[in-house]
This record gives sequence, C-alpha cells and structure tokens, in this order.
Amino acid sequence: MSPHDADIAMAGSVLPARRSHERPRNGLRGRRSMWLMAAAFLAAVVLLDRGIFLLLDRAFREVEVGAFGGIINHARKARAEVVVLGSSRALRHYDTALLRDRLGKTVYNAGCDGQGFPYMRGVMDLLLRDYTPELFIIDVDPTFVVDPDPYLDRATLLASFLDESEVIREMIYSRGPLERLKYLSKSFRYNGRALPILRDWGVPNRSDAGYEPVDGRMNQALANMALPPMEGKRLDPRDLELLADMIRAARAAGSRVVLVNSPRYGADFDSCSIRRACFESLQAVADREGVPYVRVCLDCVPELRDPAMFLNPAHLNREGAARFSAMVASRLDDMGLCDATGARSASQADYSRCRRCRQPQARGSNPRDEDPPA
Amino acid sequence: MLFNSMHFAVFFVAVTAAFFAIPVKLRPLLLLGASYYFYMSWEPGYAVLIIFTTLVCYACARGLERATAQTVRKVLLAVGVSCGLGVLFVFKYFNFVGQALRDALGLVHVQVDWPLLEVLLPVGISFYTFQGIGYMVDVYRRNIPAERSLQRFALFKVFYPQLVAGPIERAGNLLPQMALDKPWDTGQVWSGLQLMLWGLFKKVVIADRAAIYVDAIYNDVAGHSGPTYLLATYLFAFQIYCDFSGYSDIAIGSARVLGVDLMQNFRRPYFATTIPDFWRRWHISLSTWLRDYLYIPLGGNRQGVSRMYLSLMITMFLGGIWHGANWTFLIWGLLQGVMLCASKATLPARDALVARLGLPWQVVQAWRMVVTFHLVCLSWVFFRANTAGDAFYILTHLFDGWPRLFFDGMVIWHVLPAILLLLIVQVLQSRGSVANRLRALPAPARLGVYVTAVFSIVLFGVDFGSQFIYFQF
Repeated sequence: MSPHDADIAMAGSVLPARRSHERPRNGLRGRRSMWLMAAAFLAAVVLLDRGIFLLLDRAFREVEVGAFGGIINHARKARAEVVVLGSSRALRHYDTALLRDRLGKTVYNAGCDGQGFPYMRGVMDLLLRDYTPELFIIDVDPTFVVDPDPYLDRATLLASFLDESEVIREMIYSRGPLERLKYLSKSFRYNGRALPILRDWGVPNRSDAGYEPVDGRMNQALANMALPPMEGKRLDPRDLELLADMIRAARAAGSRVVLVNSPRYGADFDSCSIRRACFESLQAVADREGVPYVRVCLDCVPELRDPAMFLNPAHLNREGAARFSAMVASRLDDMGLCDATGARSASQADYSRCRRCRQPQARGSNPRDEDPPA
Repeated sequence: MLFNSMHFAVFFVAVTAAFFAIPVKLRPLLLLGASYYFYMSWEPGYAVLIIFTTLVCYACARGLERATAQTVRKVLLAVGVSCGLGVLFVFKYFNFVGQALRDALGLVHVQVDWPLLEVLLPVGISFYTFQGIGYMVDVYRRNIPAERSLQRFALFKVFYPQLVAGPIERAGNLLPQMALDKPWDTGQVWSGLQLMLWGLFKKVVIADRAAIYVDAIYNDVAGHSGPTYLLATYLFAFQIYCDFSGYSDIAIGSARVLGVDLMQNFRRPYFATTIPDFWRRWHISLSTWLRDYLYIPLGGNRQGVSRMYLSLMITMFLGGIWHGANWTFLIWGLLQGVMLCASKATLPARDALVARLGLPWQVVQAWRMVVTFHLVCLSWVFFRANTAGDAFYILTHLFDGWPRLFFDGMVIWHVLPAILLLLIVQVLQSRGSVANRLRALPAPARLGVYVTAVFSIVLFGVDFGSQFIYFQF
C-alpha cells in the first residue's frame, strides 16, 4: 500500500505498541503487590462507601425541597388529611389552598416531576408508616399504564428509604435479577442525587403544602404540538396491578382512595385507541377495587378547552389549576368522600354527570385524533 | 448484556477467573462458550446467524487458500462477501430500500407492494460482517494464511469484548492472539482494569447524563430556542464520543485483561485540526477498514484528483449507510464526504494564506481545531436527529430565540466538570501516556485516583443501563 492511500484514515500503525511500563510482572512479587493493592482498594472503597453514605443520608433527611426526594420528607412532616399523589401534572394541578378551603381538610400535594405509579406506591407506603391519611387522591394518566415506560427506573430516587420500606425494596430490586448487588454499596442509594442534596440542603420549603403552580400561557405553537406519541406502546398489566395494590394498601390502612385524571390540552379519552384502552383499564381497576374514578373530560369542563388555561399541553397554569381544583373539590364533595363518616361514599353514578366520561363517543369526533395509521 | 450492567460485571469476573484457573488449552473453548452466551443474552436466535456467517467465512477462506485458479478464487471471494453482505442487507437495509423504492415509485403514481420484514436488527451485525469480509479479502490477497482451526476462527468472529461494537479487528492482529496462551501479566491486568474504569466513567457519567438533555431536545425538536439546539448538539458531540470511545475502552480493557491486544479506536478526535485529521482519530478501526477494503480498491488517490474525490465520496456515502438504514445517516455520510473533499482541496491555499499572514502556528492550530469541531457538530445534527426533517428544522432555527436557553442544571452541572476532566486527561495524553504518569505515582495516590473514579461512577453515573449508541449499527 502506498503511503498516499492513507488519506481518510490514520497515520501510522493503530496497533498499540507494547508499552515500556507494561513489562510482564508475573513473579511472586508482582502478584503479591497486585493483591495487596486490590485489598487496599477494596478496603478503601468499603470505608469510603459507608462514610459518604452517612454524610449524604444525614444531609438528605434535612432536605425538604426538590424533586429528588426532599418533598417526600416535607410531605411526611406535614401529616395532611388529604394527600395528592401523581406526577408533575398533579404537582401543578391541585391547588391545595383551594382544596383545603372547599373540603375543610388539610391537604398536601405530593406530586413529583416525571414520576408514575412506582414512585406513588413508595411514597404512599412511607406515609402510611407514619400515619393514616383520610384520603389519597391519585392522579392517573394513560402514560402510567403503558409499556415501555420509565417510571420504575425513576423511582430509584426512593432508594434513600430502602431500609425503611419493604415495598420500596421489592420495587427497586425488581428492576433486575442483580439489582441487589448494586445496593451492596450504601452510597449508591444516592446515585445521581449528591449534587441536588447539597444544593437543596437547608433550603426552606415555601410551597403551599407541596402545590407548585405555574404562571404563563400556552402559545399557538405549543397548542399545535402533537400529543405524546403512544404508537408502539401496549398496556402493561403490571402497572395496573401496581395501582390496584396501591388502592388495597391504602384501604387496608383505613384510608380512602379516589382516582382522578387531570386534563391534557386537546386530548380526550377517545383521542386514540391506546388512550381509550388505557382509560378503560383504569376504570376497570377502579370498578374492581370499588373506588371512585373522576374522569375529567373536555365536555364536562368546557372551559378547559381554552388554551389560556394551560402553560403547555400537559400542564394547566395557575388559573386552569384553580378551575380544575374547584371541579375536583365539588366532585369529592358530591361523593361524600370528605365526610368524616364516609356515609355518602360513592357509587360511580354519583359523579358521572357527563355521559361522555362514562361512555366514550365515536372515534374521529376529536379534531386532534392521534390514532396511529392502520 | 451491556458493558455498563451488573450482568456484565458478574460475567466478566466469572469468565476472567475461570480463564486463568483452567489449563491454557481449554481457554479458547471457554471464551468461545462465554462469547456465545454474551451474544445470546440479547437474542438467542441470532446465534444461528453468526454461526452461519462464521462457517461461510471459514469455508471460503480455506477454499481461497487452496485454489490456484484466479477465477475460482474470485468466485469464492464473491460468494463469501455476498453471503455476509446479503445477511446484512436482509436484516438492516431490506425495509429501508423497500420503503424508499415504494416512495419513489409513488411519485410517478406506481404502486408497488414491497413486503416489509418484521425482524429485530441483530446486535453488532455490521461489525462482525465487516470483520469477516476483511478476513476473506486478506486471505484472497494472500496477506494472511487461512485459519485452519475452526474453533480458533469461530472465536475470532465472536470474541466477546469486540463482538457487538468493535473495534473491527484485522485477522492479522487478532487471529494469532486467539491461541490465548499468554500467562498472567499483572501489568496488563491493571492496565486493562484501568481502561475499563475510564471507559465506564465516560459512558455513565458523561454520555448517559448528556443523553438526558440531548434526548429531551432531539426527540421533541419543535419550539426550542437556538441556544438550546446548540447546547444539545455540543452535548451530543460529547455524548457520542464518550459513549462509543467508552465502549471501545471497556472492550480493549477487558481483552487486555485476558492478554489480548485490540487496536486503538479513538485518538482524541476533537483535537483534530482538519476533517481528514478527524477521520484519522475517530472510529479508527472503521476508517482504516474503509480505506483498505473500499477506498484503495476504488482507486485511492493514484488515479487522478477527480477519481480521488469520487472515491472519497463513495467511501463516505457507504460509511454513512453502514451506520444505519436512514436518510439521516446517508446525509451525514455525504456531508462528511463533501467536507473531506473540501478540506483536501482548500488546505494548500489555507496554508499559503497562513504563511503570508505570518500568524503564530499555535493560534492557527487552535482556530482550525475550533472550526473542525464545529463542522463535525454540524454533521452530528444529522446523525442524531430522528428524521432528516428534524435535522433541517434544527439547522434553520439555530438563530431563533436568542438568548433564551433551556438550562437543565442537573445535567449541566454533572456533565460540565466531567467533560472538563476528559479534556484535561486528553491534553495530558497528547503529552505522554496517562497510564505511565499514573504508574509513576506513589501507591496511596494511585489508590486515591482509582477510588475517586469508582465513586464518581457510583454517585454521578446514570443508572438506567442504557444501551450504547453503536450497538444499533
């Protein structure tokens, strides 16, 4: 080969020459020094692992803000009578002050950015270990019950509570057959969270019982954005079972549960076949477990068709959240879910004023139908 | 089984321990079994495919060695290469070609019912196909003898450290090492483990963390500002480099522990001062493969300037398509080809201008480094975008919404210090071996470096066991 041919590739040999520092050290001394180094390395790793864990764990217990676990500490201290569980949509949709005034109960919004059922199940278990809330409002969404979803991975931020909760332990270990091995490292519980903990350490929680409203209005470009793609996804029975398990755990502890789905701009139950199947499955779980399911459709709350109520297609702004919370409060009140006795609790017919919520209309009625092509 | 998974950690420890515990003559058998287990952990059925291509390569090479008639040898080579490329075409390009054909004929109102295959792309198919073709061509050229031992050849094809994403090894380098008869070498073992640790750091601390930001932008391109697209593209440049070079480091390191030297795959590519220089530093095993088995046979640069440019364009076009059956890779390859040709064509004039202006050489080199990096980033937009439309959207909206920036502090504050560390290490590498420097440190200091690396991974790595980008190729 001519040297001129080396135009698009590297100059010179790519094979690593034997490095001078890599003289074979096969003798007894070489092996002995290697094992000594390995032993020292292991000892250092174990000691440092414990040390880092103790420091981070201590700091974490004092953190009360942030989506990396701080709000769980805050929620546990609040001991509210009504607890909202969910994702960023719950966090921004349930106005705790308004709910508190309307229901006459203390309310805490424990929604967390990017989370789904696994996180909610873990938080519910932690709360139930501390006390028994009267009511859990579980904000459900079709994306929680489809596979693949990222929610089990994201729930690893509950690893700080691994020693406290059997439920969390089982859930995190269920990620893989060798997951337990990773958690032999104590500091691994704070994987990806060391910086947020240091950032949030000592920062007071100024939220109104967890609620984090957002201001601003959706622009036209956002309004025209496509809904989250659901093509290629399928219903995951494990997620539905997790929801059922959550309901059973709450009821076994003496709490009541209501499922609510908060609105997405331009999306309805029948926006596409997968969404419809998701909602039907969620309804089936609610029916089977005997808990009410408040489905907010755009027909029964027509003002939520207004883009001015949204920050983006997935999140209501402060004004939208106030309207939505008022609607939820009224439904809960109608159902008697907040009566101390629970006497008026709940046949589903009580709250299903809108026929569409119970019986989806024919496909194609929604201009933003997102059904994948056949 | 991903290199960044617990599954691999257990596998590696078990295989390495067994490797050094059993008699030398049993090592190839052990590694062959382990390599098949490694590959079948993705999809057991695809082992059949690799066995088929192994047998075809082996038989053709033996035939090539024995045959004397040139026609017979050509036929044998054609059969072997066609089998490899045929499998690659069916699994990787069949649907893409069908779709493109259907779309093209649709433009002239001709409906063609091209069947679409519903098959999963076998992991690493492009890598082991190219490795096999390279071997057959080398035997055809009588650069190397055909391997007589089927067991040794099979191990060459499926040697687990480099099976799914390279480096694309040359038979002349790897086959002789498949005897696996090297004794335990403490220095090699340490060196291999160090490299694996560094590779893992690059993958989980830099690449996977940067991916969080990059995916958020590139998977939903509409509505972001210019600075956000820029930041996402810069981060992708480091993501793909750390992802792929991290994989290569783990591959080379794990092979080194077993006493096998694999070829270098990256050499500080973002320090390149021209696009040709970039290709001497990026994915070296592929670029040298393309040079030796495609560019030179096409004529190289010995048949005139226009032929050279044509050969370069064809090589880069096929190099682009090698990455995947998608218009984005095709455009990426062509863009790289155009930039290569332009760089070669303008270099003398640029050098003359620099000489006339009398600029300090260091300044010129630094400027060229920055420009080359940005040209590479430009091509990365096509490489990363989900569709060509997305890529054009990003490029046409780079000047929108300044200075608004979507700033994800959690990603940025994790990734920036790690990238800075990467660059420092690379500067040190350019001045001599970092491994040597490390070795010169007193034992406690060395220990401190190792322990710091481990805890950087434990505390700052992303634990979602995400796939390496190049596995899909």
